[in-house]
Amino acid sequence: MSSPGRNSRVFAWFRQRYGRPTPAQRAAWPLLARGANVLIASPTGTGKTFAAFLSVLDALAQMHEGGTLRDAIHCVYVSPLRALGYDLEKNLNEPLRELFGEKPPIRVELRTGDTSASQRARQFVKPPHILLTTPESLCVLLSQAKWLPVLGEVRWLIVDEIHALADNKRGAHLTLSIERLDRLRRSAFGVAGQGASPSAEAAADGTSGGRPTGEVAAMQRIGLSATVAPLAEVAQFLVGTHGQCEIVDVTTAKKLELRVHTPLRKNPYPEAGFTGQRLIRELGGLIKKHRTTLIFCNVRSGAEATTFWLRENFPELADVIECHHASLERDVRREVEDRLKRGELRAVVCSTSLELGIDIGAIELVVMMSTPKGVSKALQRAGRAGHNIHAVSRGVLMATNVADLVEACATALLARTRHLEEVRVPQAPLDVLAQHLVSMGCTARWNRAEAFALVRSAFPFRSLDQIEFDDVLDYLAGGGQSLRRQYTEVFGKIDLDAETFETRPGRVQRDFLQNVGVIPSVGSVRVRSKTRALGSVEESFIRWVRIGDVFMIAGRPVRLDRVSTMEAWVTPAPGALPTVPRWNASKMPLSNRVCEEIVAFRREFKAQWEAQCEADLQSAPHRADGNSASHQGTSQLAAWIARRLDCGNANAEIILKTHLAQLELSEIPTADFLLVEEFLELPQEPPPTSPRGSKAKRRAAAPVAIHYFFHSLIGRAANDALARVVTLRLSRFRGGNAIATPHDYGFVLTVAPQQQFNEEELRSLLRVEGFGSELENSLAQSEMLKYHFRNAAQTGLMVYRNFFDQHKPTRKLAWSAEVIFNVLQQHEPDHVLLREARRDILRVFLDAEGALAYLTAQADRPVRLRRVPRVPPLSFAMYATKIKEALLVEDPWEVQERLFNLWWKQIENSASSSPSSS
Amino acid sequence: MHRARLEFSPGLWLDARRALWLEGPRVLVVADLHLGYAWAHRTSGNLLPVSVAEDTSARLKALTADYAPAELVLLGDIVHAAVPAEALLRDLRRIGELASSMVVRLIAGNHDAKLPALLLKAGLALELRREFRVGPHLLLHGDGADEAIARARLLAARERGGRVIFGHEHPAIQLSDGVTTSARCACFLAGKEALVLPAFSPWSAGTNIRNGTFLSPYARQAQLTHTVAIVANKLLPLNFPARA
Repeated sequence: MSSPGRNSRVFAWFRQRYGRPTPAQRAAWPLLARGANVLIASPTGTGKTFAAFLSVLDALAQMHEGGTLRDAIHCVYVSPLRALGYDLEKNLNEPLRELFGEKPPIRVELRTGDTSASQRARQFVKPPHILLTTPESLCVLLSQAKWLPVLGEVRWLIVDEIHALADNKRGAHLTLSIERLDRLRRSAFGVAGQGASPSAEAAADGTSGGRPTGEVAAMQRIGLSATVAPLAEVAQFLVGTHGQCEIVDVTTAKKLELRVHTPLRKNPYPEAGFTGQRLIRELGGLIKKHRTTLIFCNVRSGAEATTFWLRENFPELADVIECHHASLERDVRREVEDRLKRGELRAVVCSTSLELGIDIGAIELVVMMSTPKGVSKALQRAGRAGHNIHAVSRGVLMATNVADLVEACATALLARTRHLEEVRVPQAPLDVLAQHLVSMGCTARWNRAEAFALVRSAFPFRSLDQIEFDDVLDYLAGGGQSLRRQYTEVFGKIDLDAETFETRPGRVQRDFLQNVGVIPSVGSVRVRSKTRALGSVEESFIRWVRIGDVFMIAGRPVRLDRVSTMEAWVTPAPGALPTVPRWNASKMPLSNRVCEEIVAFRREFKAQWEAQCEADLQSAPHRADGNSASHQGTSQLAAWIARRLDCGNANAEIILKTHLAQLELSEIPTADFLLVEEFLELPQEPPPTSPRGSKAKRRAAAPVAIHYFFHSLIGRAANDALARVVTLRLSRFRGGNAIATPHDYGFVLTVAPQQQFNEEELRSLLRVEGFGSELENSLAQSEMLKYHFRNAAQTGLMVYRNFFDQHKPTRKLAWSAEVIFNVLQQHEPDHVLLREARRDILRVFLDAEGALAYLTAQADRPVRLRRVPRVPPLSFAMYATKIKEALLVEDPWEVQERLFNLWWKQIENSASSSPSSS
Repeated sequence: MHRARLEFSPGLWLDARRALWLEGPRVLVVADLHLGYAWAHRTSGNLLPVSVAEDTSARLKALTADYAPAELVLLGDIVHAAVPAEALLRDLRRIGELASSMVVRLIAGNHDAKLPALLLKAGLALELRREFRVGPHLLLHGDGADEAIARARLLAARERGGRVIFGHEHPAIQLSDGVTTSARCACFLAGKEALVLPAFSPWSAGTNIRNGTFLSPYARQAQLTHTVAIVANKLLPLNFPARA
């Protein structure tokens, strides 16, 4: 490569300092030198930062040497995490100091929500050459007219951790900022033609300082991503509908070693001793064997509980195990990160908070407690181990129960073969659009058509239609035309006419700047002790806690002293056992990829088993039942499982045992038919006076409830949609309420005895016709819709979270999302924000599409309704989800364990007492 | 069981449209209109929809058309805040229009401090009073009073064979299917000496009567033995007393 930059001082410094560039760097530099937009996908520790930044630093250094470096922002770096900005500030200033001495001429500065007013003012007077910021802070800058000239000079835009933005509204929000930034540069420099490919010369000399005349390079976009798919879509997300993007994929450059580990032993349901305890012991063992271990839990409460139990069981490690999650106070988190970086900690238990690439030093092992619910997630998490390109990423998937075990094996298998899920980019979120229109209108009076074209150039908004765009403008203007004819003053956010719009000056703009961003604010209560703020917990959680109760925060037990509306006061209660669990279900549904893999495994297993039975029958025709495999047969099946799932013999034995038990009670559900198991729940048995008598009584007893286990293995989001419709249909033709509990592997429908249905009725519950409208009906008054409306109302600026003049108490009017929701449902059901909330649910949280696709595919296949005497093993995880609510004060693992035990005993009893086995 | 109207005690009709009808004297009572609620939010920066502002006066109009009352009593908190919005004046004038065919009585609530000035601005000659007697019944907003006074007045009303009728509480009850759906329904509360009206305003979420304490000393002092919820525009009598 003979691009001019490669021989420069900056590159020379790099070679001297680091030697050979990494594959990511080697691939990216020439593309960047050509001026191309580039998406770089590679794991942590593979030199991504310099892959992106070195040519920028080089160009800036050359501008400095040529005396053309002006005080303007030349490069904007955006990351979803503030912490990444802090790291990067250090990591960029270090080489700059080495190159230029203590006061480098190229300035790198941070700008986030934490930046002080004085710093902000200073940045305006003397802008840094490289600005490190967040999506929200970038939008705040773009909303201020005075900043536009400064931002018009931006030549490079770098988006870090773009995979964590592509599938959500925050990312959609960012793409609009990016297009606006791009437009600023075009209008400042008169860059010709959208998406014009800049000449290599212009790129190489960094466009030089001063206002050049003639053609100038468009803003160059660089995306940094972890393992994600499809990269082409993420690239489009980065460059918009007009741009071209080169992709550098070095995701396989780092070696990965992913194992499945389970504390379950040969007998998956031991008599005594909880797997939970054994799990903690084994986790402790892993921690002791490795220098630093990072442990991921799917939910915050899980991270809290794991930290607590680790400290309880390993007092010698108690001081070097910490907890880290997003509800913890920032300085608490930073302290943990710093100690981790300095190598002072042996283990950190986190929720998702350390998933993204903050520099946390060398992690030797990553453990994922219960499965990460997706292949990309598993790879991203495992990628946190081994913080340089030559180190191997060592990850362990810890399966806490039998259901998890198959899932973990499937996930590991797919991860090894890099079968990733596909990113789903949100489609034209209207609340985000509303926010940007107000932001745009803050700096100028816009032509509506131009604004529309600009918005549509952002990838998530590419198919936004004109009517919706106008609806959002109307809403922001305070209502439709009729309202504005009636009143001179409608107190809207924008001033709108047929051609143009502009945001109202003064307070509207000031308040807006306090409310930029789409981070949903779940009602949270700050937890503090006498000396410091500890973090926050969900409002819904604290409502359940009574004064004197002990709960966990940052992995330490605290006792609740008093609660106000916004704060909970606690005192540390070392050694006390929590009296209240924090037990939120995992928010992440299982990915389609993993679902499909499990479905495939079940089908193949069934075929193997049938073949085995057939073979046994041939070789030993005297065995009358012909429906169970011989001893030799089972060992062959186990061997097959070990091969198929690449999971080791011990794991295979456990999986086999579970599936054989399933076969005894029911059958293996596959995609060839829909298995629905019917289980009659009998009244609680009274204390047995004589065993015979109670048994007789039990037989006579009528069921108190009927549970139907629907084995639709399509992930929780799709099952949730399916379950809602089935419930609605059942209550329509049977009356009464039915309760559905969705799960990744299917759903449980619980009905009263008189609501029992037969196979034909079951078919009609599953019909395709009317699915969409019935789903919408079932959602009309749901908590879920209210919750999402609340988020949309805040992001869409219907109600503010923060006011500019917060101290004025009159400004902070109390509002209730439920009231506004009710009013809109009744009087303005088509309101843009209500529409957005509905879409959010159907597209993202419920996967209506997936459910409908399943029903459609299933329409031609049989449905099998099957009475089962007990809850079969493959239904157990579903059943446990259903009944856990009644068992709030137990540790989740213990509950599952206890239930599994109970169930196992029942099976054994029935097996030993049934006449056929004697 | 489910119906739009219910004669709770002789001559005392509850209407699911959040109104009370005193049959003998032909008096229609509604409480807590909170006119201008959405506009108050708007002036402070929250962009609440305003189509409902129209709705409040429209619903009131429909009620008066049905009952053709001799008197209409607005039981306090007639306006939410004295916001500088012409829409609010317009709503008040609509109430003024009703006064041509019936006596309109305005009772002051805690939100109505600036209502006299607004009435003046709207050109309405309507008097604002603290309370009002209809036969044996005492009608008032329900805020303010001392506990002992409240108790005494409840007792006196009962001895007269009437009730203290008030609003202020915005009583509501949270009904849930136990799983995914729950709704807060406005309700009437009643006992031997008192009757509490739900808020007429669509913007009232209502205070869940099952958890929380009553705002009004009258509600605290009264034996509110009956709850009648409004579910899907029908009255649903529930068999439990309101407990704060």
